[in-house]
Amino acid sequence: MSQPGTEMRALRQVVRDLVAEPVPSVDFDRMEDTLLRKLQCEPPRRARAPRTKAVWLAAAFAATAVAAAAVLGPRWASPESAPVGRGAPTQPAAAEEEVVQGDRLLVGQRLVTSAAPLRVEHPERASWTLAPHSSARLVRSGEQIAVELQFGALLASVAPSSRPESFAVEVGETHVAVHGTVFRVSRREETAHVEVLHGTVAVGARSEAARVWLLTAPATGRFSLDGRRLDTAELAKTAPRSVPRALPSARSAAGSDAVGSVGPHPSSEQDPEPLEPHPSGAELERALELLIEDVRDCFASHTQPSGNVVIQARSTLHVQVEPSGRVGQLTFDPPLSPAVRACAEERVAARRFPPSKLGARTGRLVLLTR
Amino acid sequence: MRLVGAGRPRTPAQQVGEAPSSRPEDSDLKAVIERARGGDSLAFRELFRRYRADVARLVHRMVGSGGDLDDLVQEVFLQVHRSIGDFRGQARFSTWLYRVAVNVVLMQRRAARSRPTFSYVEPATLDDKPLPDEQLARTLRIEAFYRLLDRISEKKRTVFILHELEGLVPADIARIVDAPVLTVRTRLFYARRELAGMMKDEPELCALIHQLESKDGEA
Repeated sequence: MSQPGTEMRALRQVVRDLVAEPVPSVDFDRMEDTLLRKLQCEPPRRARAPRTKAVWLAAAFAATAVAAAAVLGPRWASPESAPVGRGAPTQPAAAEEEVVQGDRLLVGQRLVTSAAPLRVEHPERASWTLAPHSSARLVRSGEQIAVELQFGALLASVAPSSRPESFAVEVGETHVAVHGTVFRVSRREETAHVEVLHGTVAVGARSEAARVWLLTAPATGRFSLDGRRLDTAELAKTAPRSVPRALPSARSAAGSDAVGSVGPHPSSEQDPEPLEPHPSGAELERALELLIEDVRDCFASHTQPSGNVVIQARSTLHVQVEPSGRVGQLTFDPPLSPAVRACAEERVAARRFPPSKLGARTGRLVLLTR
Repeated sequence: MRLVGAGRPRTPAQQVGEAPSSRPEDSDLKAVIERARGGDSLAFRELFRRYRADVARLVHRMVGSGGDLDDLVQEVFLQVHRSIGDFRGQARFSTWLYRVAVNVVLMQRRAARSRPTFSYVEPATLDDKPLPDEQLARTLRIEAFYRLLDRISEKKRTVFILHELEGLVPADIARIVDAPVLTVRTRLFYARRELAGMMKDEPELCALIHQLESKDGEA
């Protein structure tokens, strides 16, 4: 009769044999094909990720830059916005555009274009076209699709969505989050250019919550790669052709520091240049800064102090600029007190933006403190 | 007590690293999982490629040579695809995957038990190729051992395979089979005892016991 210990040793021996036994060969490639074919007919249950506060904060704070428009097609390679532009075809639609399904891209995968643009489609969510001679990398997929523009330009069209930040473009630390608009981002050396042709986008540094620019189409903006807006200073210094067309007399009268004090516009007879369709981003930014200063003054003067308590209000200012340059509509979301609003409207009535053919819409999240 | 000592041959997964369930999940894997949860088919394919060998090995060990390995592995990944939205990352993905695999195999076994089977036992050659005696004996022992495994309860068999063959620790097994760790240890203890007690019922295993006793006697 065998000892129990022997049986256990025998068991151990058999287990060793079993562990060492090779697994029968499986044709994994064939299995993969079959599996993927089956999965095509069987949509997965998507993750039911709760919409967290963090997501909203990210949406609010991370936004940095871009917006552009449905009209973008023909303007894709305009000299102003072409990424690497000189050799690029002016009408990319005419070039042979390769189309890639977005769900086939891996996060981290880099796309580089040569002479032809590349279109990436995320069905029912967004599509984006990488301009010729550009490079982008898919940063995130799933709930949010995010693309990092490494160089060149891309045009994105985002389907309207109730989800926050359904699509974003990142250029350095600059982050542009939108849903339900079309926009273009281009990167030129160390700057990000944003053009909003339709809809509104919020632009800001990821790390700086209080500085968020709302660009409402039609609008453009230039940003550093850490999310700072550059238009005003840069245009004044390095791009004189982009300096507000209607302001030469104002500048000469008040000096370069006064460029921002957008005042009554000189008549068009003094300026042979035809009006642009919209004020430039720099012009809008300067005038908007002044408007915001007015609003801050009004808030300070019409909010009753209460001991040492600091009173703060956060509201998004939306401005509609008429072609004449005057402010046609001023709204706050959420609304400010009637007294502050009345004061702001009175002050704003005296302000003028540069005239343009079509006017503009712009906005900014403002933090008011008393 | 664990049956496998330091000299235990390592599984293919262990030969290239640790057992799947004990591998830390790197950020890359987390990103792939997250994308797969979002419906990214490419990410799912990546998961399939990473884990297919582990799943195949586990399924093979659970069903032996008589099961339809390909179909079961495929079914495991179909289930993973259907359920990955529920994976919250509270356990390691490999642990969750093993749980899915174990459930698929158990479901298949239950279904198989409920319908008539027509089996054909291969003659002892097992393969067309001639086998060396020792290799043949080992193969026969393994087949015999699978028959023993079939005789113990499903719960004990699962725990035994996961621990002794796959090298998982009781804590991980507890998550996979949804039972307390103490229960896992108890099942392991009884699985070993029952299997050891049944060894003599199979001629090939009985021969092994005698062989070991003879060696003991010579020593």
